[in-house]
Amino acid sequence: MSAAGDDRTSGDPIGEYLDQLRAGLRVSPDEAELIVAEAEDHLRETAAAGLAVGMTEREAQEAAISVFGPVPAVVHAHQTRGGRTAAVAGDAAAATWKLASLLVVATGVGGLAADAVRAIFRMPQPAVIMPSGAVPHSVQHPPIHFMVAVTAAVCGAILLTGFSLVRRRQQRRGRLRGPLVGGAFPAVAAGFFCAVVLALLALAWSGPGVASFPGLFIVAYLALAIGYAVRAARMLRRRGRRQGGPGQAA
Amino acid sequence: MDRERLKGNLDLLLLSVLSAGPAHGYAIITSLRDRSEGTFDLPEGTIYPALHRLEDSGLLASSWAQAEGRRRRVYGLTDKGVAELAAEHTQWRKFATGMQAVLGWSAQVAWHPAGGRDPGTLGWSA
Repeated sequence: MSAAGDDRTSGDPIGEYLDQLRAGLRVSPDEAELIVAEAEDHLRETAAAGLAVGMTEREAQEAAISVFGPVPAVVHAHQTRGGRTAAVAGDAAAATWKLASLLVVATGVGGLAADAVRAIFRMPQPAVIMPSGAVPHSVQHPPIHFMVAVTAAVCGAILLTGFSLVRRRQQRRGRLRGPLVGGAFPAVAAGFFCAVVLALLALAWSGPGVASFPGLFIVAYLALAIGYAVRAARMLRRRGRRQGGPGQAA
Repeated sequence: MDRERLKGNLDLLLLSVLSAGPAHGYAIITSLRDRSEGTFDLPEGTIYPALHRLEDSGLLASSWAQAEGRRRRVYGLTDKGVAELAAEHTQWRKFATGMQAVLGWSAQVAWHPAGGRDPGTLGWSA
């Protein structure tokens, strides 16, 4: 095998393709090298056949890549059943991580907003009536509301930053996003935050122990749900335009 | 051709191509496409995992050679692969004969609905 991975430039589409393939394969590094070596032999030989029938170097390389198949299809074909399960689990875990981060951030922001509104309008802290009649600790020491909200916002931001860093590292290594954390994420997130809003509304309605419900939490979650729903709709429209071609775009 | 149907028979096709002698991936895929006159035309990159799977199950053996300054993996049938090919070939001929008999019969009925034959002779009871 030639020096795959070294000195790849846009003048070597096969080299770039092999780099993407190597990064996408979820097998041991040794096994990945063997798969890439075999793919390179195939692609270079196909490109040589293209050159022999009068194609330019670039045309021959692009034609060879085209008949070899897109990287995700080849990666998928090389995945064992266990590897596929691991990929699905990884995708679900990543989507859960991002959703949890957003939920915690929104909770913190909602809490801070609620505190700010109470401070501005000099409203009393929310009264929580426990079944036993005892007053919870948080009501005896009002600043704790603020501390909890700040902690939630900071923790959520840290989780979200961690997610972004991991994702960026995976992108640098050429790892492809799974559908849950990729194209389907806006729809998943919109559905999740809608469910959270509905659950909170149901809780507020039935209201055991909740005398004053902080509606700003609902507003925060609802804003996320609407934001992601809009993004999902835009993505669907873009996809529809791409599939329909320029004729249907108008 | 329907890709799923082709995938279901890919192992037999690969073993059959290699019965002519050891070959590397490119030659196997080219031979598969040429011998089928373009009917069997899967994305080439997805055929290698099938070759690896056949090797894992002991039907093929591979070795690395050097060609045109690159490493090249060459596959060949093992004894187990030869036996498997023979068994699969027999099965396939039986299946194809059965299919042909049924499809040929139904085509005959479709083209000649009455067929000049009494439905009773077709094995139906009215």
